[in-house]
Amino acid sequence: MRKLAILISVVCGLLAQPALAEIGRIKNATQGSVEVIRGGQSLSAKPGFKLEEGDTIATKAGQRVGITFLDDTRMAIGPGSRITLDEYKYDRARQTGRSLTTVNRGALGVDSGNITRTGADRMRVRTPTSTLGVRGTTFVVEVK
Amino acid sequence: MKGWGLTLFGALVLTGCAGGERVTLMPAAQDRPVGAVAVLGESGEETVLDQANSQAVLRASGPRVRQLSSVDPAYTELINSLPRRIEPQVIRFATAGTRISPDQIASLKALLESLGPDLSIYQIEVAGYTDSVGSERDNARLSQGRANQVADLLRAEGFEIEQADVIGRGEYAAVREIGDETPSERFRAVTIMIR
Repeated sequence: MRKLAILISVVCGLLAQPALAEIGRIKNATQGSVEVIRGGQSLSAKPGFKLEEGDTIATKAGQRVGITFLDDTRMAIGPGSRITLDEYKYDRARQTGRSLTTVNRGALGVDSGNITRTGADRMRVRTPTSTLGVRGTTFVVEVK
Repeated sequence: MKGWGLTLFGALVLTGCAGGERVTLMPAAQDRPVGAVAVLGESGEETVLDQANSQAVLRASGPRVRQLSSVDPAYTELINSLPRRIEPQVIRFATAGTRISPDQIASLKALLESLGPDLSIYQIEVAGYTDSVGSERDNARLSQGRANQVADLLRAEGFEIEQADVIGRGEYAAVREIGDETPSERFRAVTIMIR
């Protein structure tokens, strides 16, 4: 009986987890499909693929990928890169939120969107040594 | 030999061992300000880049800023490969109105069809707005109604629009920009954003 109660509570706990929603979309990619790592699993992504908070995008040598986000931020990921979308919270009605993206290696081009209008440094980009606060602009971060 | 290896390893750790990390502020697109990126220190200090072509070399010991005479062509190429931004389409309404003209639907349809045969890669977001006259609750409902109506008309034309992408933005933008209880045609609108 106790095992059944534990099982029910585990199942209820799993069902209570909020479904992860789309935060952005892969729009273009050179050299075929792109690797997206989600929950430890490697997925093969094509244009139209819906990205979720926590996803890591890994590009091959010579490959470039373009992404659009719900707040109209646009990103371009260069060859041989590994980028993680650690946090992305966006209230689509109020158009406010915050995000954190990590450039583990490679190059990331960004044209920032509505999140940066929410307040200073609500969009952040992290590298192995530093944290950047984005204040409405277009920039490139490179980690060799 | 082992000692030299350890010394080299230590030196690499002390210098950040990053193998080169940098952030470069790019020239702004037309009609947009350059903006800024700040390198945030752990103790609250910050180093701000706010000039086009300025670059910060990022190190554990702190950033080093320099002004470039020209930007690495690879960076320009990367920025040029950003997904194309499609200007939002705006439909305006009379006070408390929800009617849309056939001309507006026809021009929307033409835009969507111009994107090519495979629209599945696009997200079509339909967002309703109101001005700031009336209660927040009533305006949230009115804006959602406007968005639903436009989305249903586009669906009837065969376009797939997910319900999560049909959003009532109420009076939030109007209150933010022109203050509360202010009539404004500009905010009695639905925008269709294709991304």
